[in-house]
Order: sequence, then structure tokens, then C-alpha cells
Amino acid sequence: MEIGGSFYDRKAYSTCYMCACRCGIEVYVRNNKVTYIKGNDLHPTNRGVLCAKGSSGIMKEYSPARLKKPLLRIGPRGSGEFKEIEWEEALEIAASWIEEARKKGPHKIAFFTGRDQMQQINSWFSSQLGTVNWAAHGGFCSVNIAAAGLYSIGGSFWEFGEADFENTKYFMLIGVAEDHSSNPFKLGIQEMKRKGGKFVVVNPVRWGYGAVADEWVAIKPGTDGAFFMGLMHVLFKYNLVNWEFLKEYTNAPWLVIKAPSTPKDGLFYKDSEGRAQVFDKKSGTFRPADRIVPDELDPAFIGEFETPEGYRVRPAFDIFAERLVREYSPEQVSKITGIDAKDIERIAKEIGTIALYHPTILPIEWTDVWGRKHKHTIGRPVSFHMMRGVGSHTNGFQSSRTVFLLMMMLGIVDVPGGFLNKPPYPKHIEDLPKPYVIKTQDQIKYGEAYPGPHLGYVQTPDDLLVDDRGRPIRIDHAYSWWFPMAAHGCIQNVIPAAYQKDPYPIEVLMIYMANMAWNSSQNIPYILEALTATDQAGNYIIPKIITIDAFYSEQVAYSDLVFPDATYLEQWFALSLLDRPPSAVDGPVDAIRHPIVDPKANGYDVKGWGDVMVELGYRLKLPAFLNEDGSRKYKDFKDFLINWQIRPGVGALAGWRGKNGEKHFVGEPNPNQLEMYLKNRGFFYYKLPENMRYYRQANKDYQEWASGVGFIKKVAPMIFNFYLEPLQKFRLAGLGLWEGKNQPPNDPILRERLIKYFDPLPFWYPPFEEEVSGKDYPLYAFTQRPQWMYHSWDSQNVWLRQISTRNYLYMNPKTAKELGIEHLDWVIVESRTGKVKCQVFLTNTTEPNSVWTWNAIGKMKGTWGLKPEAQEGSLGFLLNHVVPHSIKLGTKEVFYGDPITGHLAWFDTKVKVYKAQDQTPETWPQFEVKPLEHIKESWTELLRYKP
Amino acid sequence: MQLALVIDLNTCVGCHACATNCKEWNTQASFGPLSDFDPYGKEPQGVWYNRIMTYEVGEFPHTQVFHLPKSCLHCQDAPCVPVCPTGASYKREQDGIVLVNYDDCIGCKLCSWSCPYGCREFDEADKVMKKCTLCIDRIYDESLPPEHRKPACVLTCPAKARFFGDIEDPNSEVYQMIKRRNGFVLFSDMGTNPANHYLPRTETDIKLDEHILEHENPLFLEVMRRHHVGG
Amino acid sequence: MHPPFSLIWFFITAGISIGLFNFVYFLELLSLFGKNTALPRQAVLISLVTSLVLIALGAIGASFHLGHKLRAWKAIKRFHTSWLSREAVFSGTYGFLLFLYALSYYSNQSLFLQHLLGILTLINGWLSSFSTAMIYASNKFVPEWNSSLTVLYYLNMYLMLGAPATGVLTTIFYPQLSGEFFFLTALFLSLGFFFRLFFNIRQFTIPHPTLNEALNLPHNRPMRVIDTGSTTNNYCTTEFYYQRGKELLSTAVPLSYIITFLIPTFLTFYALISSRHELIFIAPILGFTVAGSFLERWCFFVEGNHVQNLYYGIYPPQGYSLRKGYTEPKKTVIRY
Repeated sequence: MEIGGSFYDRKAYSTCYMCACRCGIEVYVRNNKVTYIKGNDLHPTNRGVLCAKGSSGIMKEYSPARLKKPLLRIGPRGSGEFKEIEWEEALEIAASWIEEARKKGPHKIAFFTGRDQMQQINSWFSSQLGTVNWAAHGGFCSVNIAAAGLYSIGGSFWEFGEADFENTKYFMLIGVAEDHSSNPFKLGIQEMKRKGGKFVVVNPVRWGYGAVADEWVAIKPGTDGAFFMGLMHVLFKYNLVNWEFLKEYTNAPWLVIKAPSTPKDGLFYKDSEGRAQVFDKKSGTFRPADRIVPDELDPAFIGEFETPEGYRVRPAFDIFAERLVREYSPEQVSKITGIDAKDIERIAKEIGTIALYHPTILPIEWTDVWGRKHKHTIGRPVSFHMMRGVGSHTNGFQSSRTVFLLMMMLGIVDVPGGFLNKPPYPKHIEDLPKPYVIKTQDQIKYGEAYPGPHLGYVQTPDDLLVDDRGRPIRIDHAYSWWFPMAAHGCIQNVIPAAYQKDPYPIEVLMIYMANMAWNSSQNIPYILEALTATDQAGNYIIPKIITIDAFYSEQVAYSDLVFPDATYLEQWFALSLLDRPPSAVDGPVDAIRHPIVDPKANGYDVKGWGDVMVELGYRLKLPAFLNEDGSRKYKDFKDFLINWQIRPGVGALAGWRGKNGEKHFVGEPNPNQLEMYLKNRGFFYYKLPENMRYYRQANKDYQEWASGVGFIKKVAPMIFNFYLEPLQKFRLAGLGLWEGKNQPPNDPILRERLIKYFDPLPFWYPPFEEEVSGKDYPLYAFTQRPQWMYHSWDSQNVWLRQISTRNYLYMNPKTAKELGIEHLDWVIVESRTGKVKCQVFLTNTTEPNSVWTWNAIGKMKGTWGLKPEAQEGSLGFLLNHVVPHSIKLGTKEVFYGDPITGHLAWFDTKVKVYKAQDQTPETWPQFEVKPLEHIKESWTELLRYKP
Repeated sequence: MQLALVIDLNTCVGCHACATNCKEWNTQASFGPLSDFDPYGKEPQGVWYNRIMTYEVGEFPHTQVFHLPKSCLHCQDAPCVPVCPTGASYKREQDGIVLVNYDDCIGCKLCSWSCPYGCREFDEADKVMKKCTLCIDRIYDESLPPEHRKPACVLTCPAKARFFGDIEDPNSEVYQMIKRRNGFVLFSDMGTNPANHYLPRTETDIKLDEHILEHENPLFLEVMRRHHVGG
Repeated sequence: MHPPFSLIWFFITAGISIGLFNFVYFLELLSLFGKNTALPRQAVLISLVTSLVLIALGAIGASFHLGHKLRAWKAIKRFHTSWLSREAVFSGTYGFLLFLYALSYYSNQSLFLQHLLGILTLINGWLSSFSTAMIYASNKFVPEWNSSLTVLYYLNMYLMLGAPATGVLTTIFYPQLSGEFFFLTALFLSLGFFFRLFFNIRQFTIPHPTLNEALNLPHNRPMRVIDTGSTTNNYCTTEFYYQRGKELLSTAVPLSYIITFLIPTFLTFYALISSRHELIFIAPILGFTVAGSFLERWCFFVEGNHVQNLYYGIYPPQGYSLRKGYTEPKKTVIRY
């Protein structure tokens, strides 16, 4: 034994990519092999710590599932029969397929990207191809949370913002399926707990984080919205409302016109200059809800008034208050959620009292946009965080909105101890980007670039991407009448839509880092049918599938051409402020990855997607990839990262711009920028001065700085949408009262949908599945990912898979007893669309209306570098098989999703569970593909890693 | 001196970070590699120094859950030491770390039989018993910066639930924590006197001062009245 | 506990070797006092060779339990603390002395030398078997083993194997003494039966620890394992637990009683009562006892429940105990 033998000959700083948290890492290398990965001590995201995934990065680097060369399919699609080809051939094939499709119409190319951390660049690349059909994975991920947040407060959770763990005294974690996010949350929760704060978990399951919760609110799935309405009822009842905050920062006091059956109904009452009005109690008059002199106003929140023009008007809050009082008393909410009315009342009183009567007062002076100087910064130490448990339901958008309204009522948005935005957020809601509108699918011609953003936040029906008959323009039906506010697109609809040729057939489907043939889609048997279906001539209905991935996934197995991606330790990469940066609440952060290990030396003939993109762009002669003389503009992706600018002075990375690296955020490209990042341990962190860290919705100093660096467009108060007027415009459209250009098709079901769900004030309604599945399928079935695999795709990871080679269906013992099911019985889980056989594990950590399992542990046999007999394929199962991907509304089959954003409502699934007749310990259904030859060769009986 | 870990169950969320980082460090360092058998097959089975178990307590809805990271507890009266026939399993005088000298280990497994905690794992490839070393190859490595001279699990723990130090030194953080937070040991009545301690769960409860709550918000009553709610 | 075949093999081979030597040498010793008990030279030589071969086979077999056979010599290093070390030393010395004794007997050395070696061999044999027994009996973490019954049974087992083995020899070479060995066989079989019975009965009475105790957590409510950190087996779940064995135990234990005790005892008593001290009885008695002991030792392992299994939820369910001093989790109350 020797102590202190050097474990590295090289040390490099980079950014982790084992999940989506973007932690800083120190990578130690010996003999060109990674020996150890440690958290980067100075990185604001993880401050030196590293989770189970990050620490297992080595086993991903050397996974047998890794692809070694480009693959061209030779057997039938889904057989797993490929031949390895050279890069030159692969690039030529891809270029010819894309070129051919572009000539038929750029929209014939659909490029969808999954766990993608370069969305801005991929969107831009798709624009260069001319296609309207690009989106990332938000549609099945968290678009409801993001959209509800951005539409409500100009920011949201996760990469947009998080709790002020340093100062909060009460933290409520709602519907957070384990580990979203990973290290920052663990650091934060322990910090607030050590200071004696109370940690409440609202979740049907008590597991990971739930273990350290001071209170577990075992809520019935899909009822979160009702719970929060109940909390707000109690807050209002006991006057635990931050009226000051509502008045200054929200449109809660704005007057809403009550004029049923007219085009003005439900819109804000505005004066001739277009300024929204409030009823000022002081003067007894209608006054512009003008933020310039808020102190002079004493707006009414309750009441009904008549305007000089004769409109009946009510403050938005008044309408909401009526709803709270009528429908959401703790007793009423208790019936919906299964939570005791007393607990609802108590929790509301706790958060209300702490927020209002026990403020955190920081001795920080700041100035608001109205010029008022504040001697102190007043904090409200109550905070929330929510994720898919709330979002992934057909009531997810409105349920998420309830949380943002609650945050407004408590006044905890961007205040110490409350919720804090991460720059570049917050943004003025009215300035959020809108998707570029085209009116026909083939409006963009061959050779033209798509002129604007693919994704964004529509404000009126006229912003939709629909043709003159109201049909979707996009293949994923995003921004159609069925999913109007699909802020992140609807990746989950692409394969079924392409299969159904609805709205049109496509030529080339490109998938980057998403497992759309397996755990990222629902109703897998149908998806596999879609991927393999042929027309009468024997041609595939989805003619060409190109996948970019580093591993032999199910999606790869169902592709025609595969570009083997490099791993996160092998390629240049920017974690850009244009995209989803690793920003901290007290300042923007961006970061890089760079090649630490040479893949070629380890036998992998792979290229990072960035390099492939630059190469393809050049081969396709896309103008943005060419100099004016037609010569090649970017040598490779590294060169691209340095020199590419989305607008003058703004590129992929914000740090050390300008010729010599003397400028930050805006400045001309710096040829040595990446080296400067490396020198600074791989990231750029601009810590804001204290007076710019809070109340950024109206913080003058912050806004002046932020508009200077291009985060926001003006210095002006950001008015939070307590009342989300754009929804009312869709509702008016449903009623036939919208006076704009776009009118919904005359489909009564669609129109009713617009009228019913596009309520500008949040409300709770049962998830759609409740109506279709009802009592026949009494249990909610859902999935979460364990902390050691969250957001990673690591069933092939030798270390992580040892923790869970298979999964169980978790069920409450009481439920099991009623169903005659015993611990470890094999059962059938049946939904209205399918069945799965799996093994039951009884646990009191699960509320009785729910069954659940870990997602994505079940694998298709032959994939992911696992031997065919691996438990992932025989004992592990995928619940996605029984998750409906569509729902019949009247006579029309509609993709299953939130009616507002299209967010795939995978947590809606209702099932019945019964003991399987055949108790053979094996899951059903099982699917199989052939493993690649080189994968088979790398199956070793014994792994001993010590480079 | 008795070096040890103190693990705070009040913040441990059972994420397995300590386990995988331990594996990562130790497979490449002085005591590695740590074998993984059938890594891509049906029954992958590897050698780990540290494992995390999860337990539930009580019945729904009063269920509690806790995670228990378990590695060698470096017992003060380590039962695994005297049973070793060769002296390969030994407890260091200077710092109390229990180690296995691979060169002397004959692989009889008796030490593992004599551990009530199941904290030793036999490496079938090396044919020797392996266990947590408290990262002795980190904590005394002077080429590391001083703040990194801690066990890998402690440095990596995202919940900051792991502390390392001398539990016999009244001035140490770990000593203070054990005293202040009622630190406890596993299987206290087995006569092993473990050095690693756990800090128990505590629950924060909030007592509200009811009379600061204005009982009936006049606006609430107004809304009720206007809309004829509640009779 | 997972039954290691190499160790069971050692129990039986060492048992017969030492047991046989014990009786054969005892007869030699008695002859010093003028009794005509010494076996014919040929029989003694056969017995010595048998004992030597068996202890050698036992040692070779046991070495398969070791990861590093070549380092086995290092096992002498912890003589002062380790029963395994003592076992190694004593069994090794026993084998060596046995060889010397056999040599001295074969070459007709002086009686003094012969008996000096003989007595030393005998003592070492017993110390070896005692050490072996203590390895198991001293293990506090397998409560089923942690009892003097383990030692008593084990020492008796050596005699129980040695008596019929010597019986076979006497029946062939010295029939006058065979009756005594039928008697001794009956005696040690009966003792073995009772020790084993008590060993089994004791299992119902020993206080098994609970998961609450293992975790020493301040809860007085039921606890269950919901995740062991790996869905496949690991060293701890295979070494300390043998699922298949546990399933077979309800068959294996009665069967081991029948083969080890019932049949041989019946045959012994039948032979004694009918005064037919013949090979056709004593040979099967020996055979059954040996075969039964293999099964009995297998059961001994499988019956042992290591307390570490509590952490994995594979310890026999004990419910949970309401222990004094256990309280609900401490609450930090914050007043607002």
C-alpha cells in the first residue's frame, strides 16, 4: 500500500453533463484515462460537491454502449442491423437526404432535440435549413411550469430561478419527482434545514427529499391546483395577503370588463391611451394603473364598478376572490385532494404568517424604477419549488399558475427568502419572444432561412402558427388551436403526427439526444408501429430518420443513419446565456466543456454534434456557414463558438469578449475566449452587487445594467400577470368574439375547449383522464426517476445500474389489500390503452390512490450495451407502454396534452391493477433488437477500472 | 485520536453520491481496483465500500422515511480485528482507522463474519477482503490541497450530511456535533463501540401566534355577502 | 449463512481423523497400564494413515475456502487473538505430530518417544477441534452459533465420527473390542442427538435483535427496508444469506436428524441388543453418520442468521420491540 501516489498527470475543469444541472467539475486524468471527477469548489452551481451521476461519469465514458463509428441501417428498421461507415460517407448521405427534403420544402425536415443544452444554436441551425419544425424536449418535460411562470412572473423554476435557500424559513417542494435539480437543491435544503427552517413536501410519494421533510402532504395526483386554491382561500380569509406587493408589481387590481357576449368581455378596461385602469379608492375615480406614482394610488381589489362608458368592471382580484370564496374552502379542497381541511388551513396560516409578519430585512439599499430609494430590502422567507408533479397533467398549466398567484399574494417573488430569478431572468412578459409566424407550411422556400425564432410566447390568437383553415403549420401541432401556448414545442407529437401525416408527411426526421423510440415517448407499441410502418409500396411512412447520439439507445436502433456523438468529456460545448445557463440567483453564469479525453486514442471515431453541424452547414452551402466569397466560414465547432454571433456583439459565451477579452456580455469575438474560460476553471460568473439582486421586476440599477447587456429591452416595471389576459383572447376566439385575423375552425369541441380552459384566472379541473378512464381505472400511475439516474441516460453505467437493474411498481399496502395483491406479486397494470406486467412492492411511502415506478430503468433488450439477459429487459419495465398518447374528444383523436401548452400529461394516466394469472417472474411486453457487434465484443465478465 | 465519519440523517436524501464517488476514488487509488462482476449482464455485482439503504417507519399517512449510508464504522472495539488470523485486518494506533493489509489477507472472510454491520466486501478477483479506508490515501496525501484532504464521500456529499474528524478531540467539529445533536451509533449493544456516528432526524414544527391572525378579513366577508356564499 | 463446502469438508475429515486417532491412541495408552487394548499393528497403521490422509485432505479442502492459499502460513501470526489462527496452528501441529507419531510407531521408536508424540498429538487434536468450534461459538453476530452448545456438539461430533470409525477397525482387526465401540457409538450418537436437539430448541428461545436495534433509531414503530441500495445481490447478501438453503431447511433439518442420528442409533442399538457386533452394522453406521454430518453441518450454516441481514431485510422477521428510552423524533418548535 502506498499513500498519496499521484492519481493524475493532468487536471482539467469542465461542466458535468450526467444530468441537466450543469455543475462544475474537476476532471483528473492519468494515461489519457479519466481517474477521478470531483465537483469544482468554486463553481456556484455545486460549490465542490458532486452527485451520484457526476461521480459515475467515468463509466459513461467507457460504456460498451458507446457508438464507435457512423452507422447505416442495413436490416429492417428496428432490427438493429447496421453497418459501420466512414464519416465522409455518413456526412454525404445526410447532406443528400437533407438537400432532397429541402427541395421538396424545408418543412419536410423535422429536427427535434432532447436533453439538449445548445438549444439556441440548434434552433438557429434549423432556421438555416429553413424548417419551421424544430423544438427541444420541453413538450414532455416541463413546459407547463416554464410557460405558467414566464407568462405570470416573467421567470420560472429550475433554470429560471429557485428558492433563496440562504434566507428562506419555509420551503415547500411540490410535485418534484426526485432530484430536479440535483446538487443545488441538496445544498439548499440542508442549508435551510440547518438554520431551523421548515421543509414541506407536497407529493403523493415520500422518498428521496421526502426523507428529510418536516411535513409530508400526501396529495392525490392531479389535484395540486385545488390545494393551492385552498391555501389562497385561507390566506384571503385571514387577510394574510401582501396587498402592497399585489398593488405594486401585479395586475391584480386592474379592472376587467364584464360584458358577456361582447368582444371586450374579460379584457382589461383601458383608457383612450391604452392604459389599463384601476379604481382608486382615495379619489373615488378610475385612474391609469400606471406604475410611475404607485404611492398615490389606493386601488380597490374588491368591488364592482361602472365606468363612465357604461362598462361594468371588476378588479381582477375581485373575480378571483369570488372564485376562492365560492369553490375552494378547505373543506371543498379536502374532498378533491385527500388532504385534511385542518392541515390546509394550518399550512396556509403558517406560510401567511411567516411571509407577512416575520419578514427578513436585509440592510441593503436599493432603488426602484420609479426612483424611490429603499433603505432596506424586505424579504418574505417563504419559498416554493414545483416541477412535473404539478405540470404533467392536463390541468398542469392552470395548476402551475395557482402557485405563481400564491407567490404573488405572499409577495415572495424575487425577494430575500422567497423565490429568486436567475439572470437573464426575469424578463418583461410582453417582451418575451414570439414564434415567427408563417401562414402556410411552404411559405419558406428552398434556400431561405427561417426568419425568426421557432419557439416563444404567443400573446394573442394572431400569433398562432396555423393556416387559413386553422390547421397546424408545425408537425408537432405546437401553436395550433389545440395547443396554442406551446412555449417549448411538442416533441412528443412528432412521431405520431408524422405517421398520421397530420398535418403533412415529412421526409427527414432528425433526433438529437432524445430517446423518442422508448422512454421519452408514450404508448411505445404505437410509437414503434409509427417508426416501422410502411406504405403500400413498402416505403417507410417516415422515410428517413437520422439520430445523433453517443450510445446505442432504442432511438438509435430505430434509425436509418446515426452520427456517433462524442461524450461531454470529448467535445467543445457552450452552456450559453442565450439558452439554459447555469446561472446563480445572484448573477449570470455561463460555462464551457472541452475535449479532455481524446476519443480517437480510445478507439472511438466520433464527433461532437457541434462539429457535425458546422460540417453539414458547409456541405449544404447554408449561407450562414459561408463567407461572402463562398468559402467555409467556421473551421469547426470551437471556431464557431468563438466567432458565431446571434446579433452583433452577442455570441455563445458572454465572458471575456472583445479582442483582448476585456468586455463581458457584449463585445466582438475574442479569439482567445475559450482559453480564458479554461483559465477561469471553465466558467464565467458575474456576481451582481447586492443592491441589484432583489426586486428585479422593479430594480432600477439591475434593469439598467440588464438592459445594457441585452437581457431585457427596457427599464420599466415588470407587471406580473395575476390576470393572464392573453388567455381571455383565446377564450373570446372560442366564443367567436375575437376580432383578430385568426379564427378557430368551427369545431364545437375545440371551441368549447378554448372557452372552458383558457380562463385568465387559474382554477382547478379534473385531469382529462378522469373523464375517459373514470372509475374503471381507479388508480393514478406515474413515474419518477431515481436520484442516481435523474436526467441521465445511464442504465449502461456499470456503477449506477448496480443500484437499480430493475424496477418495481410501488403501491400502498391498504390499496393492495383491497385488490388482493401481496408484496412482490406479479401484477398487470392496465390503462385504457395498454397493459404491462410487473412486480409489486408495497410501501407506506405511497398515497393510496397512486401506483408508481422508476422510469427508464426498463430497457429494450439488446440496447444500451447490455447483454440480452440483463434484468433491465426482463424484470425492468416501462410504464410508458400504458400512458395514452392521445384522447378521443368527440369524434376527433387529439394528442394527449394540456389544452393550453400541449404539455404531455403523462402523470394523468389512470390504471387498474390486478394480480397476474401467470406469476412467472418476467415483465411483459418485451421488445428486442440486435446489439452491435463491437458491443458484444466488449462484454466482459469482470471490470476492474484502474488506469 | 479516532478518526471517523459523522453522518447527518437530518439532511441525507439518499442520493448515492457518497457511494459512487467512493467507488470512483477507490477503484483508481491505492486500494483499487474495486471489481465489478458481470457488469453488463444479468447480475451485476461489484465491490463497494459504501452502500445506501432506505427504510420506512410507521404506517400511511404517518410514514417516515430515512436513508442510511453505511460504510465501515471503524469501531473502537472492532470485532473484525482480533479474529483475523494473519493480522491483515488491523486498527491503526495513531488514528483508529481499521484497515486491511491486502498483502497479508488470506481471504478467509472471517472478519466479515465478525462484523455486525456488513461493512466488508470480499473481492473475488483479488481474493482479499476490502473495506472503507476513510480515504487514508487522501487524508494524508500532502500533494492535495489541505481542504481536499478528506474522504471522497465527505467532499462530494451534496447534502453536506457527512463530516469527518477526530471524535475524541473535544474541540473537533464532529465531537461537538455528536454531543450537541445526540449522535448515536448503529447496534449500540453489540460491544463494538463504533467510531462513525449518525445524527438523528429532527422535525421542525411551527407554533403560530393565533391572535395576530385577523379573524375575519372584511374583504372576505364582503365577497361572501356579495355572492351569497355560506347562507 | 451461506454454507461453504470446503469448511464442511474440513469439519468431517478433521472430525474423523481426530476422532479416530483419539480412540486408537487411547487404546494404545491404556495398554501402558497393562490392559490388552492395543490394536494389532496393522490396524494401528491403517488408522494412522487414514487419519493422516483425512487431515491432509481436510486441510487441502479447507484451503479452497481461502483466497490466497499460499499465504495460509501467515495465519499463525494472530495466535493470541484469533480462534482461526489457533485452529490453523493446532490442526497443523496435529497433522505434523501425527505424522511423527506414525513414523515413530512404524519405526518402533522408544515407547517414551512414541507416547510423548502420541499425547502431544492427542492434545493438539483436541485443541484444534476446540478452536474450530470456537470460531463459530464465539461469533456474537450469529446468535444461533453463539452458544456453548456449538462447542459441545462439535467436540462430541468428533467422537461421534471417531467411535464408529474405530468400530470398523476393531470389528475387522480386533473383534473382542468391537462391542465397546458399538456402545461408545451409541453413547456419542445419543449425546450428539441431545446436543443438536438443544441447539435447535435454543433457536426458538434466543432473543433475536430487531431492525430497530440494528439502526438504533429513536422510533418505536415498525420499520421496513424499502431499498437496499442495489437490486441485485452483493457480497453481504450472498455470504450471509442463502435463499435456496432457507427454503430447503425445513426438509434438510429433519433429514439430517434421520440420517445422522435416527438410522445409526437404531442400527447401533439393534447390533448391541442382538450382540451382533458385525461389519455389516458398523460400516453403514459410520456411513450414515458421516453422510448425515455433512448434511447436519450444512444445516448448521444455513440455520445461522447473521445480524447484518437486518439491514437488508433478510433477517427472520422479529417484528419490532418497544424499547424503553426510545422516543419520537425530537422536534424543533419555532414560534411565530
